[in-house]
Amino acid sequence: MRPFRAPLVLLLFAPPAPAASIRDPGLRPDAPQANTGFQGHIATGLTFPAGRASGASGDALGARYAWQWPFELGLGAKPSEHVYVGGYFVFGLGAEGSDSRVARACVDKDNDLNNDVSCSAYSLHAGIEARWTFSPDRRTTPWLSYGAGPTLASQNIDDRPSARSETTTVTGWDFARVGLGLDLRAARAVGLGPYVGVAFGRYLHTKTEVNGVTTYDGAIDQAAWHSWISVGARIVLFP
Amino acid sequence: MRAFFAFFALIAMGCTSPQGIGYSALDVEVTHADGGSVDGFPEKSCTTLPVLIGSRVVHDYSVDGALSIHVDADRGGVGIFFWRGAAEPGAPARRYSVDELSGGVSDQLDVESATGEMYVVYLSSKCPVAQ
Repeated sequence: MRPFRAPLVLLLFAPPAPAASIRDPGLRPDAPQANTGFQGHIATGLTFPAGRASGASGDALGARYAWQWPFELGLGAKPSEHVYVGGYFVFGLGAEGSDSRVARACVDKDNDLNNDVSCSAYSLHAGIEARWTFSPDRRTTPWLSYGAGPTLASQNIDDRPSARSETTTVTGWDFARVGLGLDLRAARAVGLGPYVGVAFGRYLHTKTEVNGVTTYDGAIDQAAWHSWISVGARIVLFP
Repeated sequence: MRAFFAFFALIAMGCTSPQGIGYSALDVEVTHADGGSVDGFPEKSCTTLPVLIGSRVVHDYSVDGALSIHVDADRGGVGIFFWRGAAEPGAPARRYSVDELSGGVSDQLDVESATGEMYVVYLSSKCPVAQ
């Protein structure tokens, strides 16, 4: 008879279970037991653009977008003590990049203490990731993750005196979202720790809207590789 | 000290005006070779160049169903293409950089449609109505 194996979706709703394995005799007695079942995390920090948004001249990712403030949510499950599989969603909020022409346009030119031309940027990353926790039953454990999924980045310039708002949004794929971190397992139910990560991807599609009207919607002629480099901290439920 | 107070008084009175971005634009107008107007050609045929990196503004205008004028603008400049029938042209008939538009452009092209009719296309950086 084949042994019963619970599908992954059941693990999402299962309460964290104590690890069945015999604990390492070298562990400190107060180290929380390893978990299986549901795991979630939230994270924030800073993320920096690198590489090129497209192959066009002057189209560095950092020219379009400045560093951003990311907010990350991850939900998934640990089918074993070492392995986590789940989904991630990251929203990053930032400002215009280093392009001097746009930066100049975004500076308030009069002295009425009201910025007449406002600029903003944001990015989204979503997908599925897997994480390997090296020492799941120790108080401090490093981890390594890999994920992939769709991504989006958008920039807007809103010129109120001219009544003109321009938005350009690019979409593509994060082909490799690699992370490295350290979980400090304060208790069995919660942990926290620093992380660094790099998302390598390509934007493949672009859309321009002026005052809400689409003026171009099509493929990027010269797609190029870019990356978003992140550093920050995360809080983990049932690490 | 007097100038200091005068400066803040001006701000308080709202004597500074908001300033937007200066845009470059290209206006397209078409007539028949004899100067007659083309039926159905839009009055608003002005393309304002975008500002952001990667932005594009594309407009297509049909002239009597026999000629299409394709305007493709990015923040670096604008290209004008003439399409006769289904074949897409490889290179623009005219391309103006943003600096050329800022300096002022006034151009006139004689264009033949797929049916052999002649048109005059006027290109100008002075837009009566910005789009």
